[in-house]
Amino acid sequence: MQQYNTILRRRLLPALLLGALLTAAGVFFAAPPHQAAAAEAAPPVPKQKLVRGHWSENPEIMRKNHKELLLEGMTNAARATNRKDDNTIERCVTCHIVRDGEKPVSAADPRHFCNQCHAKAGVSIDCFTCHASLPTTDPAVMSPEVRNADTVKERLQQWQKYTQEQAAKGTGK
Amino acid sequence: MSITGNKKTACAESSCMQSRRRFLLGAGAILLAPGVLLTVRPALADETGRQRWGLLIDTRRCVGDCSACVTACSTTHGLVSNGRPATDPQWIRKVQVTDPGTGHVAHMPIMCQHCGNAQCVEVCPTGASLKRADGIVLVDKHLCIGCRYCVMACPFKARGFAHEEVENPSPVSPRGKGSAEGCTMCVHRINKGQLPACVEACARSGHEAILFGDLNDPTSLIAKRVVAFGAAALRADLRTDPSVRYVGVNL
Ligand code: SF4
Ligand code: SF4
Repeated sequence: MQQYNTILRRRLLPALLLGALLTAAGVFFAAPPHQAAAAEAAPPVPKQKLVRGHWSENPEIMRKNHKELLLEGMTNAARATNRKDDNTIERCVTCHIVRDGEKPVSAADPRHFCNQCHAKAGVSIDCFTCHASLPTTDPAVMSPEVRNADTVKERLQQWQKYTQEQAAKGTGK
Repeated sequence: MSITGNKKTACAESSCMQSRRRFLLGAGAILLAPGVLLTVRPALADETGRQRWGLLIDTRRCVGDCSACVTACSTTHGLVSNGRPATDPQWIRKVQVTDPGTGHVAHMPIMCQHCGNAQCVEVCPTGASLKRADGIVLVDKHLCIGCRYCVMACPFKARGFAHEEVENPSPVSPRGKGSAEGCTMCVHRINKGQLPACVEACARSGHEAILFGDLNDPTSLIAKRVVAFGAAALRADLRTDPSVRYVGVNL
């Protein structure tokens, strides 16, 4: 490790810093003024810690951060002894339902919630080779009212009610 | 074979794992080559190692013509048979043993023994096979590369492999083609304070042959019974220190 650190300090860091400086200088001098203005107009979405219910207010935050949230959930779900159930993928798919008539569609369908962006962005995800892509019917994971509500807004309200109840019962970890 | 013995082994095991983890964490992110980073995921803080979940199987109560535990397991974890017995998933096997000396016949379910000294964890090259702080042995399928070393290493034929695509995975038990798998002791139920599905099904069938509990808690029923009955470990000679114990057979 010591060796890595030394190499990192002596060789790589200066080289990387120099590279970054040159790139920045290149971008600064090469970018036409109208592009710089466009970058100012759309401030980058901050990477931030997501908390329960947070993403509903600003979809951009979730669009940007859902991977981190899933990664955290996936490490936690498989390994932690005191599992925190907040961020399971079952909960994602239980709220984000796309229905064909009465029936929710699975990830095999291009209309499935996750597919809508991923198809456009050319991202193939591997979640649903193992995970269920249909809403859970387990009342312990999500109240049936969430699954049965029609609009996203109603589902969100039901979901908030459910998490409050769980917290009151002391079972929501 | 005493409870304290178990506890010691479990603690030694987990502390050794922790120090290894701490070493890796100290490394944080290692630069393998320019542009190739090996990042190590953070360890989780809430692991106490106080509990050790176990099962006690009373073979005197288990009968040959019942398969309630096996059915419950398949339903809970979505284990669907494809009509190919060699590769179909099976997390619990019903086994009949006969004592050649006395002719005494016993029936018992055999699932992952959640060994204190788990060989599957020892051999896994990716860290996918893991032992939780509460003694449950699992596969983190996000990391499993399907090499099947664990399947070879398990002395109890308890580690299986998903050979075929899974059509409708159970929401509570994600599983898919190409990954090792085995009895999870129903962690998803234990996390919620429920009993494992097989234990519940066995009780519902009226046999009550499987008892679930914390082996590290000397006041728990399971710990008391393990002591009182001198419950045996399968292949004790291998010293895998299983969390699943059997009563009523000379193993
Ligand atoms: S029974 Fe097999 S799969 Fe289960 S912990 Fe022991 S070695 Fe691993
Ligand atoms: S099959 Fe998966 S869990 Fe088993 S040893 Fe290989 S990587 Fe580890």
